[in-house]
Amino acid sequence: MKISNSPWLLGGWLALAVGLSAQQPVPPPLPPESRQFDFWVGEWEVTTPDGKPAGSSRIELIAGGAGLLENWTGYPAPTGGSGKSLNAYNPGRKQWQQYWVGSGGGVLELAGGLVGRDMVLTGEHTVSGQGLTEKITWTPNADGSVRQHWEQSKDGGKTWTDAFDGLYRKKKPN
Amino acid sequence: MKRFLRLVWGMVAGSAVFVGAKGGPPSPPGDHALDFWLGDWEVFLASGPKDGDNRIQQMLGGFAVQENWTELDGREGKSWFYYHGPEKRWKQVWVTDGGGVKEKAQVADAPTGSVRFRGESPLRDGRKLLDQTTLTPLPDGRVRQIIEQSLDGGKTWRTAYDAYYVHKAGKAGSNLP
Repeated sequence: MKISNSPWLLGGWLALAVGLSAQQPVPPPLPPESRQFDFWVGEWEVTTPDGKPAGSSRIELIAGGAGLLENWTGYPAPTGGSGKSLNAYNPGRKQWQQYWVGSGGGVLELAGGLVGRDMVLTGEHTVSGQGLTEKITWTPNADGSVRQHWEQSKDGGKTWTDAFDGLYRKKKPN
Repeated sequence: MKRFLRLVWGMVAGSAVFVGAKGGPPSPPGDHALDFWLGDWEVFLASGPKDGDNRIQQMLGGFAVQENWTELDGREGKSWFYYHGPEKRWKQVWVTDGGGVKEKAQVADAPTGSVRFRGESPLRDGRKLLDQTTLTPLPDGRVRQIIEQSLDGGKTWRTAYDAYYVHKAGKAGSNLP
């Protein structure tokens, strides 16, 4: 790969257009929006609304802070499954995007952004011929915890069913 | 995400992509399209000089591959290749430390023996940039990567990047821990 080929940065023609060299010793500043999801970064224990363990997750900044990498392990490991997601603000499309891949091969492609203080990402796909809308809302709580509320709709968003409701609490330092 | 995982598990297990996996966990895509690219690489421009290092790692049981690119000056990029079961093809998302994001998907018009990913990205001035990456395993174990870009919808292409991947010494082979 080649970073300077990234069109939003310094793609060949664009580089000429803005008079920059093709090689940049330091990256250009990230858009401020790239920091909007930082409240999810950390080492977390995740519980269901009734307080039972749901899993654990490590959310780390990657690519100089341009993206977030989620590393999820469902409870109990390993039968609880696992998955990862790549999250980034896309300045070209002016939205946050998430790509989730589960250990069973399931893929979710979501997009959205901040709504108030919440990060809300949605996506549509077809499952067994049935259109399904996914909506995940991450809410930063005052105590530092984060709620991840996952909803699904089979009628284009008129009615929603909970798919997952998890409370993320930071792991205590060892 | 536990319940979701179960849900997705059911979804993909029922999909025609994973025929043969009935009753058990779905199998990763059988095409091994990117296996030749796995490993630790030094990357040299076709014109000669080294351009950077790349580590290509398989993850999630083969359903995804992570690219970890570091340029000689320390700049970083990461990309994911993930197998999209319903679309029956690999897709890619590329994120750089400058905030750039590009999305591509596998296309069928690659030369024999190569894999090709293509995507369209909006430019600041409103134009659309078509961008395609072609990866080709060479008989000597190297991999050639060519990135081409078009601003006229694919009528004319300009080579934006042309490089050779050489396995790092002592790390031959494609499987990382």
